[in-house]
Amino acid sequence: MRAAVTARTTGASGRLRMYRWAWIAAAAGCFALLTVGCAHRAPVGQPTADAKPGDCHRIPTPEAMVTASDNSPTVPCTAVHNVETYLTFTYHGRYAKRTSRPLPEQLDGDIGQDCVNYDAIRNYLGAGSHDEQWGVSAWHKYPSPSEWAHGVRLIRCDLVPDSGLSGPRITQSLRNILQRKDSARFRLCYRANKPVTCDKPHDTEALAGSPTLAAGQFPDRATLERVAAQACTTPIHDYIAGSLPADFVVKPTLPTADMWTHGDRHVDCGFGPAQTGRLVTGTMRGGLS
Amino acid sequence: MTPPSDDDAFWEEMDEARFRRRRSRPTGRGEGERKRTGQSDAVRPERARLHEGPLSDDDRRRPRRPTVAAQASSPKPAAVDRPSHRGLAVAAGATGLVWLVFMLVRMFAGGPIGLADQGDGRRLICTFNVAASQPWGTETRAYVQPTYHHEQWWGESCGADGSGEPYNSTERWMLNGAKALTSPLGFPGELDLRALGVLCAAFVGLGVAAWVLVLPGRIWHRVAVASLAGLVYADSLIAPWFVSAYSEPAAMVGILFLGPALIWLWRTERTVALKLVLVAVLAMFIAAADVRAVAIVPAVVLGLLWTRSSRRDVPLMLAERPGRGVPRRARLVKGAQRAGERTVHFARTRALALCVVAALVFGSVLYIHAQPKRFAMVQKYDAFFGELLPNSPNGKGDLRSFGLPKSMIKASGTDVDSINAITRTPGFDAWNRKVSMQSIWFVYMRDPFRLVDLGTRGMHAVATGRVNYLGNFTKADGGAYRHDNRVPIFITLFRVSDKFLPLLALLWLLTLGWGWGAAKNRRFSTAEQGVGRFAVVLVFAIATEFWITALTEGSVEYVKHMILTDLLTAFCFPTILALRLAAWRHRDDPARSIS
Repeated sequence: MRAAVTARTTGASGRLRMYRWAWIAAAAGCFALLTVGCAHRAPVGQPTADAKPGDCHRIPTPEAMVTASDNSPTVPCTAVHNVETYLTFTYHGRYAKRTSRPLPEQLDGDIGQDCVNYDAIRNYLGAGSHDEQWGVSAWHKYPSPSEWAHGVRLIRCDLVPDSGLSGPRITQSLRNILQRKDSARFRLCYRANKPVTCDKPHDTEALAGSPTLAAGQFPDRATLERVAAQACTTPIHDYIAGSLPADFVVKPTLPTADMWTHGDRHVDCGFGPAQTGRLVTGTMRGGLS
Repeated sequence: MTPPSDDDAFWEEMDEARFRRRRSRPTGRGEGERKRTGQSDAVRPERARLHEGPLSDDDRRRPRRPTVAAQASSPKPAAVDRPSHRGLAVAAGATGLVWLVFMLVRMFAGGPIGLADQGDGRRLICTFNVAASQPWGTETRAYVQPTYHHEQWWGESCGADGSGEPYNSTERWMLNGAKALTSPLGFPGELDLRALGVLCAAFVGLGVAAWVLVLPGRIWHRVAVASLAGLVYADSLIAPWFVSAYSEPAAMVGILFLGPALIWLWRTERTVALKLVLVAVLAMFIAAADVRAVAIVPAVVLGLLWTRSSRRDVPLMLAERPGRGVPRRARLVKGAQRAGERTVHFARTRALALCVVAALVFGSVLYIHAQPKRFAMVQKYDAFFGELLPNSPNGKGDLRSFGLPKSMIKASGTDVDSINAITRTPGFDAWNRKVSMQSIWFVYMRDPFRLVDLGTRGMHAVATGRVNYLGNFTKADGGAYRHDNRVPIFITLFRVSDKFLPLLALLWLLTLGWGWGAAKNRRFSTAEQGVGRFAVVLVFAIATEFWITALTEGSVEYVKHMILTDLLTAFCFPTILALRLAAWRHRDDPARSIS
C-alpha cells in the first residue's frame, strides 16, 4: 500500500496534481476570456463623415432601419434601395462637446424635427408651387459611437419612401422626382377622403399652395363651394397645363365655420372624376419630362 | 450505499492504515493547551478521530462520524439497490434515446413550435451575418420565423440596441452548432432555428442519460426521476425556447447538466479536481449565457464549498475549549482562536474548491463587466420608471427623496425609448447622475412592504410562465399569437399556483426541507445525501435568480425574464421525487433518518 501511495503522488499524475490549481484557474479564466473576447464587430461600409446629398443606401432590415447610425455602403440610385440622403448638417447642440455619444433618445430630443425641413425636402424633390408631395418620410442618422468619439458630428438626413418600413423597393433617385413623369408614387391624392399616393386608385388629386378666400361673413354651403371652385380653377389649370377634361370637376376642401371664425379661409384645391365612385390612377400633372 | 469507486477504495485504505497506526502507538502534538485524555483509542474504536492526536473532553462528548471500521459493520443495502455498470449504461442510453425522440416528436410533429422574436434575438443572430427571411412589416411577435438568410450587417446595427456594443453569450456556441447542422438536416437558409431545436433535443437526451447515471438507487428509480427532469424540458413552458434566437436556451441546457455534475461531485467522500472543474465550467457556461443567469453563481459556490474535506491528512487541531472558571475576556479570545483555527482548517482542506470558486467568481465578474453599458442604463431606467414609480404609494415623494423634480412623474411607466421618456429631455443627465441601482434597492430595504409587493408580483410572473405576447407557431402553421399546449403539465401546475401563490412557496420550502434532511441524514448514502444537497442548492439558486431578476428590471417583461426561475422551480418536482424515493428505500432501516 505504501508503494501504491508513492505511485499516486509521483509520475505524470503526480505532476498534474502539483499544478492542478494553476490549470484550474487558467481554464476558468480562459473560458471567461473566450466568452468575453469573441465579440463580433460589424464592418463599416460608408463612414458618416463621407455622407453627402444624393447618396443612396440599401438598408436591408427593419432593425437596421431604426438603428441610430448607418454605415452601409452607398449603392447606385438605379439599384434597389430604400434610403436617399437629401441633407447633411453639423450638430452644434447641447451634447456636441461630449466625447462619448449621448443616447440616441437624447439626440432625438435635441435635434427634434431638424431633419424634417419641408423647404429643403421640396427643393430636393423638385416640387413646384402646386406640387404636393406624399409617400416620403424623413429620417435622421447620427454618427456611430466610435465615429462620435473621433469627433464626427455630421447628421445625415435621409428621404425614405413610404413610412420607411416597407423595405428596399425603389430604383430611381428622388432628386427632382416631382418633375418627372414617374412621380405619381410621390404625389398626394385622396380616396374617400383618405390620403393615398397617386399611383394607387383615387378619386381626388391634390394640389399644394392653398388660395385664400376673401374675408367676410361665413357663406352658405353652395356659395362657399362656388367661390372655392373659382379660386382653384387657375391653380388647377397651371398644374395640369391646360383645362380640366369634361368629366373632371374641381374638388376643393372647404374651411369650416370654426376655421373661418379664426381667420383661416384657406382652400385646399383638388380635382377628380365627376362621377361618384369612379377611381383613377396616376397623375394628371402637366409639363413633366 | 453505492459501490465505492477506485478513489473511494484508495482513501479507505489510507484511513484504515492511519487507524491501525493510531492503535499501535499513542500520538499527539506537543504540550500546552492540547490535553491528553489518558484513554487509548483501542478502548473506543468508534470514537477514533480521523486525524492525529488524542481525543479531548469536548470531542468525547460530541458524537463523531462512524469510522470506516464502524461503517463496515453497518447493514449493507441489498444488491438490487446497486445496479451493475452494464445495466446502468443500458438504462441511461435507452432513457436518453427515448427522450431525444420524444423531444423531436414533441417539437416538430404537426408543425414546429418555437418562440417569436420580440427584438432581443437580433443582437446574437446578426453576428452570423444572417437576417430573418420574412417580408418587411411582418408582425415578428405573432409568429415564429425560424429561417435566416445571408445578410450583411453594418456598423452599430449589429450589437446592443441603441449603442451597437458587442453582445456576448455562450448561446453563440449553440447557434454555431445550429448553423453547421442547418444544411445537413435539410433546412432552408443559412441558419435555421429548427436545427437549434434538434441540437437542444439531443442535449436533453444526453442530460437525461446523465441524470440516470449519477442518481442513487435502483434503475427504475433513476429512470423515473430522470424522466421527470426530461418532462420539464418537454413541457410547453420550456420547449418553445429551443427554437428561438434568445440567449436563454444555453442557460437552460447548462442547468440540465449542472445537476448531474453536482451530484457526481458529491457522490464520493473525496473531492476530485476534475469534478470541481466540470461544475465550475458548467456554471460559467450558464452564467455567460445571459446576464440574469449569473444569479446562479452564488448557489454553485455553495455547492462547490459544500464538499467533504479534500485532505484528511490535515489535522483539525483546535485549542481547548475554556472551562467555566475562565474570565470572559479569555473565553472570547479562546473562542476567536478556535474560530480562526476552524477557518484555517476549512481553507486548507478545501483549497482546491476555493481556487475553483475564485476562478468562477472572477469569470462571472468579467462577464458582467463586458456587458454593454447600454443594458445597465436600460435596466436602471426600467427598475425606476417601469417598476419603482408605477407601483409606488407616493411617486412624487420617491422623486423628492432622490432629489429629482416632481415633473418626472410624467415618465412613470415609460420605456427608455418611449415618446414621453425623460431620455428625450435635458433632465435625463440629472436622473442618471442621482439614481443608481443601489439607491433603488435601498428604497426597498427601507420599506420592506414594497419589497413584499415586488416579490408578490414576481411570484405572479413565475406562475404565469408563458410569455403571452409571443407566438409559438410559424405563419404557415397557425394564427397570430397562437400558443403551444402539446405538453401542458408544468405550465398548468404553475397556472394553478397563480391563483394561490402560497403553493409556490410551499413547493420551494418542501424542496428545501426535505433536501436539508436528506443531506444531513447519516443513514443515506453519499449519493443520496448529494441529492439532498442538490435540493438545497436548487432552492438557493431559485431565491437568487428570483430576487436579482426582480430587483434589476422589475415588472418590465417580468414573465419573460423569470423563465430561468420557472425552470429551476420546475426542477423541484424531480428533486422531490428523488428525495422521497431515497426515503422510501430506507424505510426499513433500524434507526429512522431525520427527514
